[in-house]
Amino acid sequence: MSNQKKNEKQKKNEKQKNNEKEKNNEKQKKRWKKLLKNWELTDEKFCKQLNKQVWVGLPNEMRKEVWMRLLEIEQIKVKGIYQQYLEGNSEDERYIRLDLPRLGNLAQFIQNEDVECLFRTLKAYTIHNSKMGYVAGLSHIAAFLYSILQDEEDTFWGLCTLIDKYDLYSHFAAGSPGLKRDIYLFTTLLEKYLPKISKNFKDQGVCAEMYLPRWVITVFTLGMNNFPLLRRMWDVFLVEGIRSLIGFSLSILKYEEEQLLQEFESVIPFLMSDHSHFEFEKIWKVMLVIKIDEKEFNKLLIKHEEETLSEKNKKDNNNNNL
Amino acid sequence: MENFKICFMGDQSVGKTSIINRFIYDDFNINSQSTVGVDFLSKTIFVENESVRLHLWDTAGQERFRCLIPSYVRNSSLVVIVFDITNKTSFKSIEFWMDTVQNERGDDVIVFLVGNKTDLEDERQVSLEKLEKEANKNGFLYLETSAKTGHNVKQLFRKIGISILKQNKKRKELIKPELDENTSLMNISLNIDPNKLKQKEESGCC
Repeated sequence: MSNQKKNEKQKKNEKQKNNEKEKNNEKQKKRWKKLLKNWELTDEKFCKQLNKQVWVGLPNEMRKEVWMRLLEIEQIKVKGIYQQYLEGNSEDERYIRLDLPRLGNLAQFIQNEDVECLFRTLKAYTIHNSKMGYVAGLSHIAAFLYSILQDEEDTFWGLCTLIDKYDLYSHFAAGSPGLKRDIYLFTTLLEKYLPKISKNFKDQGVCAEMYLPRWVITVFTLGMNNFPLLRRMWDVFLVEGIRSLIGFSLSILKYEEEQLLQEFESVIPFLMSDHSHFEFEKIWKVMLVIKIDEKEFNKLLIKHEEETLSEKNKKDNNNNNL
Repeated sequence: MENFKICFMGDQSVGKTSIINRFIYDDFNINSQSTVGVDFLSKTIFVENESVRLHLWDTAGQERFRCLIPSYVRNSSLVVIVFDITNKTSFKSIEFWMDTVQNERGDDVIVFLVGNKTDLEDERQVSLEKLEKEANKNGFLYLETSAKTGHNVKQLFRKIGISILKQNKKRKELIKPELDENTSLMNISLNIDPNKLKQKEESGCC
């Protein structure tokens, strides 16, 4: 075949692929429009459809609208509150100022003039939730959310929902009980689903405390530099909650399995890397396979709660006896 | 080659990451990404004709993640507690970080106190004498550095290497006489309390 013909064929193929992509996109848009129209998070059937669709895909141009709905921003917004917070002072302003220029690769989505918006969002949040205050990692979450919502007040209300309803508070609270919970859940499931890696990690002295915290605390906004993938992960996270974070973490290990069966010094750099080399199609397939069943997850959660409670009682008893 | 675990801790933005970056890459970035959880880097250095592989664990400075510190400090040969000489509060926190280390390790670890940011001499709030006093009180090593200019950073890691080798030799010597006295390995293994051994195995990671 001559080169010219080859080129023509290639062009034709590409055109066909693009056409298919566009068609697919249109189809998905229609489905999401229908979902937005019939939005009812208390309806089991609706939630099932939503859950299925979020794994299939969410067109970029609809992401903002869908996230606004999932985060219930218009519902919880109280007029004037945000502006009121902006007039106040936060003890954490110094730390926010220190952290904002330290966004790493996320900074590419934040224009110079947006930095002040983000500062105000975070300042307002630390006044709104002074008990929690500013925590390292919060600026990453806020910046990523802002890159989609493109509005400082909406980002503020989005943060409120994430911390309360999605219980990111459990990570940020003193003593970080949520982190302990996630380390327990993750380690248990790692042993069950990826026994080879789990065994090698034990042999090599690699524990979840070394790599899991940044993934779950920042909802992967630190540690995942493949941004199209990160957006899709967040779509799922906003529907499934913390359970999805454990599934994603396991999937990352599964994707790198070969490398992770080596010795300590070869393993750690893979865990600490930014994963920008991940191929979307490939990792998404892994994520779909590893998806953690809700019932199994909830059972483990209850077990962890019971264990924590009995440990606490034991400690209290010991203290009383002293 | 033997490798040794070094754990860096101290308040937020005192320059833990920057000191490590200066040492590994000979580079300084005023806005290095904030550390959440922990970061890891390693490097081999040559001291006293021996090569030593250092595993550097760079921990996040925020107090509420203190619960993670024990799993980082475990098995470390040396802990570096960093403070910012232009920030009194970060100097006061040394006690807090020390408690965290001692809760996990007792006195079984070498501690290095490092006052960073000597390039900001005009803004100094903690004098070298104060650091010296604090270090001597506890028998710690100490040094002032500037990750920005590179001042004393190489020196710091050289000193780290030397003290680790020294301790390692001491440890080996402690085992040796026992071997000579008891001549047979059997006797040594009998000296070990099997319960203790089991506990150690079980404590594992987290």
